[in-house]
Amino acid sequence: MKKIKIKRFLKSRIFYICFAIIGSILLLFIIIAVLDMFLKQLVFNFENFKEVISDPYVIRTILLTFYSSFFATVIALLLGIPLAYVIAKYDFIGKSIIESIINLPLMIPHSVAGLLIYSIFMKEGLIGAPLKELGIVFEDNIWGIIVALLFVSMPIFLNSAIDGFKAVNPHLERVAYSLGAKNRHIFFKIMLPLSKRTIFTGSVMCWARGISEFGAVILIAYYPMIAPVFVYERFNSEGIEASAPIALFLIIICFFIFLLIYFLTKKSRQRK
Amino acid sequence: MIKSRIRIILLSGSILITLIVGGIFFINPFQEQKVLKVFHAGSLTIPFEDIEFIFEKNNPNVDIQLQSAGSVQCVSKITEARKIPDVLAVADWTLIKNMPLIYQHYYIKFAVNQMVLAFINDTAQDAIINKNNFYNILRSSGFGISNPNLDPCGYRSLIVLQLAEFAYNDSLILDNLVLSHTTVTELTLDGNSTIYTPENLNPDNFITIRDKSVDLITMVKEGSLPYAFEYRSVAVQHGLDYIELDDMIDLSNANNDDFYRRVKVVRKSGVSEGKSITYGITIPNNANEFDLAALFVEFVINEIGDFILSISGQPPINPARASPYIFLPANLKPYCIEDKS
Repeated sequence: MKKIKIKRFLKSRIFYICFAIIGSILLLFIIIAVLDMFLKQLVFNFENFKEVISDPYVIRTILLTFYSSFFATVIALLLGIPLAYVIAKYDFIGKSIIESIINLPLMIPHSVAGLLIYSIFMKEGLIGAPLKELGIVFEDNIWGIIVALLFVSMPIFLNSAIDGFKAVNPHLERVAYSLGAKNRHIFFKIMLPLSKRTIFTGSVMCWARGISEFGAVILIAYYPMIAPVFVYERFNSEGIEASAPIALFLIIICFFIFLLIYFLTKKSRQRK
Repeated sequence: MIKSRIRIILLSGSILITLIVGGIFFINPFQEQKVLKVFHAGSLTIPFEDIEFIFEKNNPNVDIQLQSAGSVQCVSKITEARKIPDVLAVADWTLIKNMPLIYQHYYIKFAVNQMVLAFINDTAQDAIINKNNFYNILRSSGFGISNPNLDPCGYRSLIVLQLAEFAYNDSLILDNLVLSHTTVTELTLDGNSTIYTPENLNPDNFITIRDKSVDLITMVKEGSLPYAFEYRSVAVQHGLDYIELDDMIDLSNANNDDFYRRVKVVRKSGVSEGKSITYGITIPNNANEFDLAALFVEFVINEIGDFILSISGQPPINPARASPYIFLPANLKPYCIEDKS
């Protein structure tokens, strides 16, 4: 009797077990890469790790990375929600073209994105030149970092906001209409509250994408250095030993931030 | 209802506060800070970071932004990508001299470097290796060089070995050490030698090739590589032991340039002739902060800079050699003499 049970259990699960084994190869790929650096830096070479990350400049580059990505995310949030709402709710001619344009920054190589940004925001550029008169410079400046991050990470936010708005049950909207609600009321009282979770996750993903950006930033703003540029620079000039601790430190911080965010959103999910 | 409104206010408030606090910290519109951009060769990173530290201590309103790259890349960033630094310092002064005149009016030779053989002093063999027998010891031990197609240190290592053939009358040094273990080929004609380095070097276990010379450092330190050709500065800065080679072959002495020139390396991306490793610095014509740049260059070639360079393993040239001397900014003239080479 018991045997049959186990057999049945295995039979029903064999498919998942196979998939889990196959899938774990990918997982191992990430784990081994991180673990290797983790052991090399934290276990075998802790002194070097401590020395490198206690440099205030390292902390500053990491904070700057988080900050400029945060700034870009806030801009994406403020300008992106109206755009996402229009795309999600209304049908118009050329909508699919606009949706492809939104996703363009995701498709093109990051160096190409950087080149696009650099050529319009440099001192002689289309946008860079008039703003230079106003005292805003993008080259080798935090504004340069922010526009580059905005360019490459906004599609992620937009897509998730669009999905969020689309997922709201259209009946609610119709009922509200029939009860005489105005468009702005529907947006602020129904659409926004109901899609706030996707908007929040979208923002976090957008922020994370910004932190990881390297190619687009390095073309317009080598300085002030954000962490990815700093890791690259250190690697080029002083080798693995000087750059790996910073890389690992960044990995650890990011990991904990995302863990924290995961639990925060989990709580709000449960509350629902 | 009220609760959710409070939550919204709290949320947007905290976003705003983060933006402002970060803004004060990173953007800081209140502080009038001048920025001095310096493009420099990768091998100058450590001494220049020290100079930056002292310079910023003395001039708190100045932010020095160091950008390191390969020397050739430093120059092409100016001439091709039209980025404008205030100071340009490269590992080969002729790069400055060969720039179009719209970008530069003069060069200053301020430091030298040399090729050495770096190792960790813990094997018995290290006690007996010296500049006269190193090639015999390498024949049995194996060694590392950086990729001659990517790193000047790599092709300079090949030049050193070929020059050793001339200097020690042993026509098999490069053959035994490199040619028989890689796809590199060499041709000697009329006492001059040309080394060809194909893109795929295909090294065997005897010779270790890495993209950059600093990558070899870790291997030497871990003991997986007995010897590596490095710049003296790199060996000093990373705390490795090294033997100095004869100045006929180590590319340190500008007086031997005629001898060094007997070897050239042909790579896919260009031809490199053997010549002494002499660093050059200049202030490009289109620099934004001219006076500040002159002050920084003064820091590099005065006693402070000389001291920092020498403890970093890049012996300074004292007094620095400049040409044409008359174009130098006034504050640099006392530290330089006319370069007659």
